This record gives sequence, C-alpha cells and structure tokens, in this order.
Amino acid sequence: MAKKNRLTVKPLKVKLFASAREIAGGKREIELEFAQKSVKFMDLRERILHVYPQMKCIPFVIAVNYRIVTDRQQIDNPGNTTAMHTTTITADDEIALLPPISGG
Amino acid sequence: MIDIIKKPIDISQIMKDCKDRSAGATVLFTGSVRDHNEKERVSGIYYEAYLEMAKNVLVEIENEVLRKWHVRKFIAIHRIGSLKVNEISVAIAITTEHRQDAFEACKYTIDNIKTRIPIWKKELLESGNATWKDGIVPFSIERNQFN
Repeated sequence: MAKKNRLTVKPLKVKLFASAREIAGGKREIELEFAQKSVKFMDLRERILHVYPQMKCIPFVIAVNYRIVTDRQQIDNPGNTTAMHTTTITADDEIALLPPISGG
Repeated sequence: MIDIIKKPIDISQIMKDCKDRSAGATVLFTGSVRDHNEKERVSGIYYEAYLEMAKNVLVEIENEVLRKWHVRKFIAIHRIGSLKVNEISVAIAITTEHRQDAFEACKYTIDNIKTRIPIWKKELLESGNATWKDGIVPFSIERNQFN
C-alpha cells in the first residue's frame, strides 16, 4: 500500500543555479520524492541538505513560485517573501534553490 | 521598461527610448566588467539568471520606483551570458522632470538590482580558473534557515 502511495505522488522538482548546480553535478533540476503530496517547507530544506550535504557550504535560500521563503518580515518589500513556517509545497509549485546573488 | 538579454546592451537605443519632452533630466548608469577582482586579473564574467524570477523582481523594482519618484521613463536592462572586460552588464536610465529624482531613483534601482535579482556571476580569471563570485543572500534571510 505504501509503495502504491509513493508512485502516485509526483516528486517535487527543484531548480538549481550557479554554485548549487555545480554541487549537484551540473543538474539544472533535481527531483525529490516524498510520501505525501503536501510537503512542509522545512522538510524540503532538510531533504535537500540530506541528499546534498555540500549545500551546507553555501547560504542558499529557496524561492517558491518566485517568492523567497523566509521567517523575517520584510518591512520594505513584504510582497517579495513568503513565511517559512506556514509554507507547504506541492509538485505544482515552482521551487528554486538560490545561492547568494551577485548581479549587476 | 525592463529586460534581461543575451545580446550586447545598446546604450544609444536606451538614450533614444528614455527621451521625454516634459522631462529635464536623465541619469544613465552602466555597470561593466572590471579587469580585476580583489586578488587576481579577470578576463571576463559569465552571468546566469533565474530568468522568470529575475524579470519579476525587476518589474517590482520598477513599480517601487514609479511609486516613490515622479519618473517619466524607466529603463533597466541586465545582460547575461559571457561578457568580456569592459562590456556593459547592466544599464539603467531614469528620466524625470528634475535631476534629484533621477539620481535618487537610479541609485535605488542599482542598489536593489544588486541585492534582490537572482543573477549570479562567475569570474573567468586570467590564470585560467573560474569561480562563482561571493554574493549577497537576498533579503538577509535569518540564520535559522541555514544549517
């Protein structure tokens, strides 16, 4: 029964960029399987670090549907962020792992 | 108008596009590739973007600027891909009625591009090595997201 559940739950896809992509051997996207359809943000983060422990070397953040997930209230830009502890994620969400940025 | 492009940024076109008959000031900022970093000689930079999100954030910054200042024309273009020394990586042109608004809005725009846009640069060194540039954690996320 458990096996059947696993197969019916679509994996979460996580886009990788820059140094994070190189840590994952050049993969632009990784897939992570969970038993349940709705995944807590912190569980996703923990899983990424379990699969790729080297990611601990980079202070990455995660964006869900183009919004950075954080537990900090952004005074200047409240629209840019999503609260970390209340965020749950499904396979329909766009997830991206963002290393420290350096544009300009 | 915002954009993220692979081809070279056309400054003369930007200057045409930011003209406005009711405005008396345009501030143009360009950022370009330096030939050195803190320690070594640099031969070029490779820029990578999370394109969809980067465009979203640029639009957010544009909207913030339009709310804060009386701006007639707003142009912000970031280039991605492989750039050589001296090539322009980012250009911002702000046209306003008076110069103070243009200077302030332009500074706000480049400061926020550098701290919010999901773009990364890899420095190509003359020694033959290439390294991802140390960057900024967007929004200074609290430490407890890190391990």
